[in-house]
Amino acid sequence: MSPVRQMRAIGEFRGGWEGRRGKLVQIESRLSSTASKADEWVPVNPGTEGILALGIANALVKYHLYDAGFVAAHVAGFDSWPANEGSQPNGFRALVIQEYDAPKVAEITGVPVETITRLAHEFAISGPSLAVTEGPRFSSGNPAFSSVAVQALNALAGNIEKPGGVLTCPAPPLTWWPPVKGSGSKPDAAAKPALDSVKSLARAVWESQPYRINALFLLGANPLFSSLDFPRETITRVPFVVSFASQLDETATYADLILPDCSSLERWELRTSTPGFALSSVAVGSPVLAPRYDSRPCAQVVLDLAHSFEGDIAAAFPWNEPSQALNELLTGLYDSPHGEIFTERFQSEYLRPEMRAWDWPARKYASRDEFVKRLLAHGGWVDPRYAYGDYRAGLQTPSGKFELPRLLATEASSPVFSGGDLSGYPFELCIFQPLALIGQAAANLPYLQEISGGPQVWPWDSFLEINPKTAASLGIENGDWVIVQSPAGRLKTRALLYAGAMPNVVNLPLGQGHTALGRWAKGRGVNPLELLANGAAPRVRVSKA
Amino acid sequence: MQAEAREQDSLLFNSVLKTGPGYYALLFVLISTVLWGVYAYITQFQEGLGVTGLNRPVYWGFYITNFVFFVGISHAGTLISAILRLCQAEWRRPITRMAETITVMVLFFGAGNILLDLGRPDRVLYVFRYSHFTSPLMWDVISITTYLVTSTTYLYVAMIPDIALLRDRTGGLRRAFYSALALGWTGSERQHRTLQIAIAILAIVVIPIAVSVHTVVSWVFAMTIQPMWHSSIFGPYFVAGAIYSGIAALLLTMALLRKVYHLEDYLKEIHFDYLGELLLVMTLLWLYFTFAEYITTYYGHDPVEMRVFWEKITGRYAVFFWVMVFADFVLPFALLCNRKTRTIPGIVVASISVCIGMWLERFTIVVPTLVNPRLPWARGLYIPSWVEVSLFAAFLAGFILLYTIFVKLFPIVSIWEMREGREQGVAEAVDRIKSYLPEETPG
Amino acid sequence: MPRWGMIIDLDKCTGCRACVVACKQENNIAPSTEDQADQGRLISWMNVLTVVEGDYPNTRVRFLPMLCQQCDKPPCVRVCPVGATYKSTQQGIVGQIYPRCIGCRYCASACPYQVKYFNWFAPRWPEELSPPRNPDVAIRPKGVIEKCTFCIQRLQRARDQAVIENRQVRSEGEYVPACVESCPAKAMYFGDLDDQSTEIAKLTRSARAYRVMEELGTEPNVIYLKEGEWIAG
Repeated sequence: MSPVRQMRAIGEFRGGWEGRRGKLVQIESRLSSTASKADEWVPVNPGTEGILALGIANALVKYHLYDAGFVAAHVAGFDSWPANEGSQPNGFRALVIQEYDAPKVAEITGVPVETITRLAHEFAISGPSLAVTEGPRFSSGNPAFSSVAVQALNALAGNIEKPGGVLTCPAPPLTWWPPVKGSGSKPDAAAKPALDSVKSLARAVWESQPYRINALFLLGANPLFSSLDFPRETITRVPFVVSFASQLDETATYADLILPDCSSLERWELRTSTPGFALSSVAVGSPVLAPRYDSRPCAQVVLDLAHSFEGDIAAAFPWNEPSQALNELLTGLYDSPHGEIFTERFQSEYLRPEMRAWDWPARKYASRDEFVKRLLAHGGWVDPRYAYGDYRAGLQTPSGKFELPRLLATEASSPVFSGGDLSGYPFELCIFQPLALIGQAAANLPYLQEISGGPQVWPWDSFLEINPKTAASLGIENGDWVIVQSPAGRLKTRALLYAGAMPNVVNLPLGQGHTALGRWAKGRGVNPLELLANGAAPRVRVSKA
Repeated sequence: MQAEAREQDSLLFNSVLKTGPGYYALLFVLISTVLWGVYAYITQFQEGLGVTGLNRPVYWGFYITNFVFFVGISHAGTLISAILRLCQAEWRRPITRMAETITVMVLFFGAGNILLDLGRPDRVLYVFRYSHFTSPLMWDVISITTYLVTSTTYLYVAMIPDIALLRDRTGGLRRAFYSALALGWTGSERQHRTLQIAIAILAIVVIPIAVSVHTVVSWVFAMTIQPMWHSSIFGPYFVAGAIYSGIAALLLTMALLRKVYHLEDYLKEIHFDYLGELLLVMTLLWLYFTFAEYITTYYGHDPVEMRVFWEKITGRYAVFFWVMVFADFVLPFALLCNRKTRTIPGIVVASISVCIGMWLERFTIVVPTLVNPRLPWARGLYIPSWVEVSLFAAFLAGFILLYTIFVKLFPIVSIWEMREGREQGVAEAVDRIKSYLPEETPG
Repeated sequence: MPRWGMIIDLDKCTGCRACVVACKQENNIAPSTEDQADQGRLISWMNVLTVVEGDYPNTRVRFLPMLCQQCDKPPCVRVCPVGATYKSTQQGIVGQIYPRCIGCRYCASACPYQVKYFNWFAPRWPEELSPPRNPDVAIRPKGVIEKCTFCIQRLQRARDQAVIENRQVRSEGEYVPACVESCPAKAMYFGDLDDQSTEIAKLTRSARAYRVMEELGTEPNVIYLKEGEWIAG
């Protein structure tokens, strides 16, 4: 995620195009910074965003506001689920009509019927329109369900692979390194499945499935603080833990070895496929400072480690330095018939409408080396063309169409957390992340602590956002100490009365409450994840301390 | 006659020539408090103004309040001395010196509070080196300096004959001291005439200066655009308030000195009664100005000003405001308008009440406006720290200390004026009153 | 004579506060501690205010970057007893002379925008952030007032360069304060308001342009562009 990119995009969005500008509707359980910039904020009960999306889909279908041609040609599962196994209702259309009518959705989400209908109309007629979601991370909703439901709206509006719609970013033609083969004693090591979530990692640690974890290397990750699935007991079971953290965070405290990584100003970096940027691109960061302290780039450590082995592993890493590996990657771009190094020409000409349709033939350079040198000097490469309407490339599904999955029919509105007596916990808890504390080590930077909180600034501490009327009913005033209690945990923090908080929802920021990470982060504020430990429901009760 | 007179007023020399244990005890207490204040100030000087309770947006608090308060009290001298002298009110005679001394002493502490308030007191002389004359604070500097110089001169000049008396009564080092200050006073006709002219000129000159002092002090606030500061009434309001608190302070001083030095024959009931009536007039004048200020604000209903208004009437500073109203109007009025309570004890209670009330008035002018800036953030709160409270106490102690030392050095009741009153004043007054009435027809 | 001014497009401002941090870095402002922040003594020459209006669900939240407005009729200049704050007739910037300030805080009390900041203590940097980075900016001692100067040190550099090249400082683009430079949403513009050819001068004539508390007659040189509205169709 690039906050700078996002800000720039909002700025450009507000600037509009040829005297018009788009409408931003923010559907969220609290009035966040984005909602502050939005033209409309739709308060919705936490975790029910997916249900609202399907309610809007219901209106789109009911009032024939969807792009029938697009749906017929490029969407599967609308009239009936593929490989119909008799699950009812059959097909997306039937599902939304039967299960997600406006009054029912209004009841669950708290969004009035008129709003649902109006949003559907606006979404349909203001083409191109786009529905985007991050998926609620720590709320009671089902994140997969929400994401899919929201994307379905884009499919219904026919906004896929069209200008202004959902675009899939093609991978840039980098020369990828040959795959690592297994070494002599463990020939199929490389074929083992990768663990793609903290949860699966924890499972591997505890159950040795799909394999045992003997060593854990941590780069840019602090699961003891930021994840529910990796408590202290888990990491102590790992025989050997190495951390590349440059600030002593909670997880690094358990490391057997800490090899501080360099900061981004001191090392080589590569980024492809920036979220929100549809063009095929490669961004390269080069070191501008010599390392200030005793640190080394993680990539260098990996290379040195690989060279300490023999045979296939050492052979798979034939570079002495990360820059050599990077150079090799970038040479593939030299051969591409299209594309442009980030130059002033690109930045100024790309915004001209007629230039979008250009062929953008690649410039000729004297040699591969000269090309790579210029690329590194300018910071990256981009292919300014986008093949709109290339559904085969964009929708890489078995049917070649956008598949409205049956997922929606089965685990529909079941909350992830269920069971237990929640009657004593009247408030939903919404956990959000203020922009200033998004970085891994942000809490330990005084200048960021000074501006943390959001959209209101509440520096140097945690706070509980609570609706003023709700607070009045509990006898809580602004700045009072309050106890927030969930089935799993109890926290004490200060109340911030905020008219952007829903009456039945309280909000806690993520990012404070560190027990390590340095003198400015340690022991400051509270970590709302403690309220969700052990699979507890994100429901709390609040009282004055 | 002369010898009798001398004996009659010998009581007035006691304060200078005799010292009891009570005096030393008082000195001890005062000096200790002052030393504690020095310690507090050193802390502030070394660490910075952060040791106070001031913050953003409340940049001014105790120090500025005390500045205005102390400078206000300095108006006691002017009123009594100068105005009553010019009006030829005979009852002023025992009071003038006490009043003038208050003025001179308290002005040091008034201006001193500005020094306490500065972030860079080491640069205080820059106001003379880089004077920027559009600033009301600069006008303050000029005005207060002039007032201080004039009042000191006025006090000194009027003391010369008494210094000569002391010179003649003492010996050794003390005699040398008084000799130097007496400027060769022999009491001749010519010297008396020069003295009277000098006093008359100074009396006339000091009145507009005094009025200007508290006017420009008020203009520090009124010349900004801040809500409930920017008021055209501030000039006269502050002057009236200054005279009010000045009279109260003077009454307190009179009562104390009367008690301690047994001056019942000189400071009679009638003196307290007259000043008490004047205090009553000022009570009503204070009420008039305050009422005019608040009702104008209320009727204007400017939202920014109303925030400050409600902060004072019902908000966080309501306690200060209403205690002020009680102390500045309700209690003094009740005590002073009734002859039965306008006794010396009653007047003393009223004066204490007025002093407290006037301090509160300064506080409720300075702080609530700063706590409520126009823009909707930085709402503040001000809680003074131990440094500010200590320095307030130390300055009060310092003022009393200097006064106490003065009382030891010079007679606190003007002896020569008392004698002049006895010898000439009575006759002059009788003649004056006769001149008001139609000529007596013979027969 | 250039009249340097700034335009802030409130429509684009996202409240990210990058400008706040950039200003502190550029101008050697020490980070505050929690106590100082609690006491309201945080120094933030550029400060983004969050304004919350209305009741749920019709709440409206907006961001207002507030910095010294560099008024043409500054209330602070008039009340300084030693002339430590002054209006530059040549550049249009309200300057601050740290070695002359006596710390009476009259200017801070008189400023209606609350953008003058006082050093209650001597500034202290944590060891890791020492020394303060920018050699062009003086470190203010305790007891003096400071405020935004439109990064006058950058103007000085631009002027020096212009002198070498025997020309004037360009009206736009050559001299840019740290906050304007850092804004990711590109919501801030800076330049000579008197040069009608600049983009900033054109924006001052926008229908959305306004100045904060214009009615006070301070004539600020920081102009805000009101938020726009989405019109259907």
